[in-house]
Parts: sequence; C-alpha cells; structure tokens
Amino acid sequence: MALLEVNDLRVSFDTAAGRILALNGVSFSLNRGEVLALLGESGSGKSVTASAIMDLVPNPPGAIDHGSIRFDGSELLQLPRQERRDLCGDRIALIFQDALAALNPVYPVGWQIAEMFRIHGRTVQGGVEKAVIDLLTAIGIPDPERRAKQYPHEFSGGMRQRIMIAMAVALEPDVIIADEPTTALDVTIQAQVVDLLNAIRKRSDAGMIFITHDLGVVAELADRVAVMYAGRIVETASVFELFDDARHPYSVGLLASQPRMDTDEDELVPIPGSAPNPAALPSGCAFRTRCPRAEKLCAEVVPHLETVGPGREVACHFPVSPA
Amino acid sequence: MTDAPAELLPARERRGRRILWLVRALAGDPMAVAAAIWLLIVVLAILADSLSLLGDNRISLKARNLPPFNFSQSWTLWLGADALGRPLLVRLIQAASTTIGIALMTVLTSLIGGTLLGVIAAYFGGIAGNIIMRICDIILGFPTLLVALFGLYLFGPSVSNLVIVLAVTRMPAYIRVARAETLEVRERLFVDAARVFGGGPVWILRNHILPSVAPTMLTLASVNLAMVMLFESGLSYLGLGIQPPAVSWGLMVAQGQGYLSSAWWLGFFPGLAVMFTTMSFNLLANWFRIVNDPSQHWRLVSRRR
Repeated sequence: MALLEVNDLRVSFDTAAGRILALNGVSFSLNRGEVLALLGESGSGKSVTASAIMDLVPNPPGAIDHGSIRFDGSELLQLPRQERRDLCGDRIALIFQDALAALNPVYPVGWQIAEMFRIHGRTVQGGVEKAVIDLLTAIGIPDPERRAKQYPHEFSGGMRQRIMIAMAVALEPDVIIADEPTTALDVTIQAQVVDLLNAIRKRSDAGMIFITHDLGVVAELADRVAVMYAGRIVETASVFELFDDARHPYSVGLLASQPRMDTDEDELVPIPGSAPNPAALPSGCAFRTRCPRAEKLCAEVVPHLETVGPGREVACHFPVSPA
Repeated sequence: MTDAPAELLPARERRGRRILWLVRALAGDPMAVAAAIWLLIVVLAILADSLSLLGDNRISLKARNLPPFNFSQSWTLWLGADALGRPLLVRLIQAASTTIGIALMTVLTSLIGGTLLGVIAAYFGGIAGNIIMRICDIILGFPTLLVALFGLYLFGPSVSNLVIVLAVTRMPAYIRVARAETLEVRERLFVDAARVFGGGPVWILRNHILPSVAPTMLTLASVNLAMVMLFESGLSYLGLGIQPPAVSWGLMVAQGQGYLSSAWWLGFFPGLAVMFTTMSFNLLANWFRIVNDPSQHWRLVSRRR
C-alpha cells in the first residue's frame, strides 16, 4: 500500500468572482523512498494540494469539499485535530518556498530548529542542543555553534532555505512536501539545495512530493511526475517516460517551451494563450482552448485519467501517440 | 521560552549573561542612561522615605510658602515649602510612591488584561471575540472621565478602586491595538509554519504571536503611563482620587494651582516630576523595544562614536 494516497480531492475557495474550484478531483499516490514531482503553471493547484495535505487551507474562504487523503493507513481528513497536528512536522513535513517569511524573525535559527523537538515533546540522546548542531552541520552550515545563535536576517537566502530544510527533516518525517523550495534562489544555490534535499531524503528513505514548475529540477530529482493543469492532474508518468514521450498535449507543450541543450532547435515553442480563469473554466477539457488537438468532443466531455501503460495515466481524448 | 535550550540562545537571551548584556546595551543609548538614572534616583528616594531617613515632615508656620533655592535652610527645604510649611522635597518624594505605584499598577493591569483579551479576540474570533470587542465599544462610547467619575462615586475613592477604574477605562485601547496587531501577525507565514510543524494554538500564541505583539503593546503602555499619571491627578483634583493627607503629584499640582501667582513652586516641581518620570519611562520603553528587536539591537551594542 502506498504511504500517502490522495483520492479525488476537491478544494474550493469563495472569491469575489464566485466559488472557484482550486482542485477538481486530484488523485495520486506516493510510495516510501519515492520522489513525486507535481509539475504545473502558477494557479494549477500545486500549492493548494500541499496545503490540503498539511491542513493549511484557510477556512473560510476555502474548504475541502470532497475526497480523501490517506497517510499510512489513516484518513487525515477524518482524524481528530490533535492527532492530525501530532502528525504534522513529525511524520509529514512541509518546506516552504519563502524561507525568510516562514522563519520567525524574533528567534535565533537554532531555537527554531529546537522548536521542532519541543513541539512534539521529543527528547534526544545527547540533548536537543547537540541534535540542532548536528542538523546544522548536516546541512552544511559552517561554524554551527555560532550560527545557531544568529537570527534569520543574518543568513543568505540559500542558507535560510537549508535551515528550513533542517527544520522539516529534524524529526525524520516519512513524507516531505517541498513547495517550490528553489524558486527564489540563484541557479548555483538551487543545485546545492536540491542535492542536499535529495541526500537527506535518501538517508531516511522518506517519500517526497516536490512541487515545482522547473523541468530541470524535475529531471534531476524526480522518480515520477504528475502534471497538473487547472486543478486536475492531466498526466502521470515516470520522469523518463515524460521527457521521452509525453502523451498529454499540455505536457508536450510544456516540454517544448523549455530550452534544451541536446537538440538543435533554435526556437522555443510557447503554449498559445494563457492559463484559464479559474472562475470561468472552459466546458469539457480545461485545456481545449489552447490545445492544437482539440475537437468537438473535448468541449462536451471532461476527460478523466485513464491508464495507458504501467504507471502511466493520461486525461485526454486524443493523446499524442507514442513516439 | 523558559525551557529553551540555553546553548542555542545568543548571550543576550541567557539568564546569567543577560544582565551584563543589558548593561552594555544601555550604555549605547545616552538618553536611556539619563532616564535610568532619574528613575533610580526616584526609587532610592522612595526607599529612603520608607526607611524614614528624610527627617521630619511637620507643619511649620514659620516656613509657610518658603521660596525654593534658599540654601541657608536645611536641605529638605531647598525646593521650598508648601502652604502649611511642609518641606516640598519631602512631600514630592512621599507623593512619588503613590503616583508611580498607581500608574504602574494601572498600566500593568490594562497591559496584561488588554493584551490577553485582544489577542484572544483576534486569534479565536467568533462569539467570544465579538463580545469582547462590543464591550470595548461600549466603554469607548462614554467619555472616559465620566465612566471614571461614576465608578469612583459608586465604589468610593480608594487607591485600589482608582487603579481598577483607570485600568478598565484604558483597557479598550490595549484590546483594540492587540487585536489589530494579532490579526496582522496571524497571517504571517511563520505562524503557518509553526502550525505545519505541529504547534497547537497555545504554543503559537505563546511563542509566535505574543513576542511579535509585545513591542507595540509596550510602546503603548509607556505612552499610557504618562496619561494615567495625568488622569489620576485630574481625578484627585476633582476630589475622587487620592484623599488628603495622602498625597500624589497630581494632587500637589491641584493644590498648588491656587498659589500659582504667589508661590509658583508648589505646582511647578510636582509637574516637573511628572514630566521627567513619564519621559524617562518613554525613553526606557523605546530602548527596551530596540533591545528586544533582533534586527535592531546591533544599534545599541556596536555604535562607535
């Protein structure tokens, strides 16, 4: 059985433009030791998925209308508050995109890492202080004894993101959700942070959901990819299959709009149009207005995820044929 | 943060070294040093008075309305004497303990009560929040002086009633500010982060909301300290505050008012004392705020002139 299983998740928000569906039936599963990348444009529902798992959907205006999130055999959406809170941070951890805002400016970073142990009442052999220093050493912060006493504003962006990672992995969670952890960083720092995250994850054999819109990071890190569009997953595939032979026209378009070093093509091919307004989604397939393969059927019937191969699912009436 | 691992906190957070660090930080702000010295003098004077080291405070008709700066007299008369010939300096010191005591107790009561109620109203909202805020509106709807007068008339003028009445009438301001601050801090990402890492409401309130709200509340309290001293003098002037023969600075100003043209020092020196003390509290509060803001405190310890 999968470690984390999300099934037909629907999340909606009340806005001035009416009730909008941020997630419209999202299903995926994550196994132990696996990295699943959630790939998609802004507004496709990647972060809302993470929020729903971490119980961060603000209510009101948001609400989880339907679906289930099963973690290690228990249904998170039906768990009593206290039990769910105990899981958060301890067994499921989230890494935020904006580490500066996610760290409390009035506490030294060492205190904030120690907070993880204190919230969950964990005692560690050798004391929490030593555990914190060890964590700082593990994430490659030089002079950890001194740096632990410094405040978030005294660190560089990359270091802050590493501290965020240290907090998330402090209690060796089973599932790490990384919400665009590298988006705000320099390219060189990005690589370091991705490598660090991967090394730490491998050590504890945790499953990881890596939310990103960066195909390069996906290629380097992920085992499987779920491509999201307008609140739905439109394709899931192993990372090799996706890059070699994407089936959904949106995945194909996404890959074509990314510069590649291994081909001679001079021009990037952008996807025409822009992401649809979530308050007024097109009928049928949400991608049809930008899709080169759209036909009459696409406007009438919503395509559902259908298995097209081992571990491969595509939600399209007219998928791109295998290469 | 009482049970925080000491090793992980900077020197300024560790109990042993904290006092040393505070002294060093105080030296970085000359205005705060002056304020601290003034308050130290006041405290020492109050102490000396409570140990009866100040000599007599008897009525002496010979010294009636004795002008100040007459250095041939005993040192207690250097600031002059009041209409009954009591040395003004001794009277000032005796009034200091009443005035500062009432002001501190009032401000502390409304600071603690107001912050807690405001934070709760904002963080939990709902019916409890609504009830708290509507009661605030009701209190704010009446003129403060009227509420205070009514309360003191009903319960009788005494020091404890004075503190309660002043604290309750000032509290809505604290509640509203605390609520507004909490509403803002609550939406910050680090509060979400604490929730994601498993922190419950009590943990988040104590460790993340309160420390962020505290500097604002402290600033408000230091400003209010002056207001409370003036308010207390106003009520004493109307005969519902401190009752003679007890004395407060406000009462002394009120009593000196009638002599303003003939013996200006009767009202002037207590007024000056109120001003110095409130200013000192304000300066120290400002210094304290900077000390407790990690991104600002370097100003105090690393400034070289």
